[in-house]
Amino acid sequence: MAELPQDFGDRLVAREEVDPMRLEQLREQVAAVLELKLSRPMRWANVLGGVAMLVFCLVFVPLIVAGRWADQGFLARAFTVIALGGLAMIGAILIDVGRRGVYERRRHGAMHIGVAFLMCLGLGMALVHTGWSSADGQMVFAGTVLLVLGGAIFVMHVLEQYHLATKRKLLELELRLAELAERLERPPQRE
Amino acid sequence: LRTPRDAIYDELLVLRWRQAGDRAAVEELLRRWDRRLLYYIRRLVDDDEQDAWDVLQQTFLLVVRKLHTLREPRRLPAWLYAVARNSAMAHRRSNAAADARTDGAVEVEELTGPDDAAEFSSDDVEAVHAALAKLSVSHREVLTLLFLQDLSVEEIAGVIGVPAGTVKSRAHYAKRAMRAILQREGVGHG
Repeated sequence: MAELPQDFGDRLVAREEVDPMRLEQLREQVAAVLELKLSRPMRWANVLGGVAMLVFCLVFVPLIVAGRWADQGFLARAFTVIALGGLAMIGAILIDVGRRGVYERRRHGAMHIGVAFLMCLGLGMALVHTGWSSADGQMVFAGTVLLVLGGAIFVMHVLEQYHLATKRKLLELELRLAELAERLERPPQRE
Repeated sequence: LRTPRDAIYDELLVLRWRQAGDRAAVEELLRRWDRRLLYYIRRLVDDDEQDAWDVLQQTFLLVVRKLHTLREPRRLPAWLYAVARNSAMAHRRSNAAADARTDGAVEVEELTGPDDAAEFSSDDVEAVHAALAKLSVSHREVLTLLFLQDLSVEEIAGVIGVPAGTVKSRAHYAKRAMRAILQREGVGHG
């Protein structure tokens, strides 16, 4: 196919009238999908909710459980620690969201999934340990399934992050080279 | 024209979104593409302004939701146009306007325009922009994608969902139709 002038597409787009107000509205709609801006009461609700959750997990429950801790079996203790740890992390996230005043759907959503994932792994380990020591095959099996699935997801995630980070560094390098090439291709400016 | 630098920068923005959910990256990406996508969408929805903005909105929402699934960021332009096209088609279907409005559009068979001898020059931009509206939807679509210069023929084929050969022949006839329109309207061509 025959070549078009290099700037043909850009000039064609420039011909089109675009209502800047509408474009701005659209950008705001997209921003609303990406993040949820919190009102002042909602920010306080998040911070207070987070603090309450932390106090409950790290102070209140341990105080109640402390006296009875020795009576509990390993599995009950593990469940308690995992549940409290997970809830405490969610509390910390809530405080962070309240402090920033913005709930970033993708980032904070990923954090919550991460916490749930860690809790599943902890649960898997507790099940395997208890099942092993009490020679309970079903418990070992259930725990192993959780660990294998969780482990696979974790390894895939780590590998992907490593891959993305490497690719990003390479692209940053490529970008610099492309900028340099563009500068060299540009005709020298007359003084 | 998209320079290699533009392509790399777009890829970086996609990676920033995938790696860390960087909101600013996806917003910048959409800013870089909004006018080009709107241009294409307007050609698909017969210049109905409200429809065009609805489709662009739908496109952006889909991009935000699905961008992390784009495994090859190098394919971003083709992917964006495909998302825009799918949104436009869904919108047309929902408007029960799927029967392509070809009334008044210039059909290939009626034309006796010159062959590919003369290409379009920068001076033709305004006339080409106006004439696009007079082509049938399928011709308008393929020419718009060619003229925007973001995609190769193979990528256009992927967006439209036809073989590359079909894109070439469709583009050939669409250009003939366009030249015939330009000639008819007295724009020096052919």
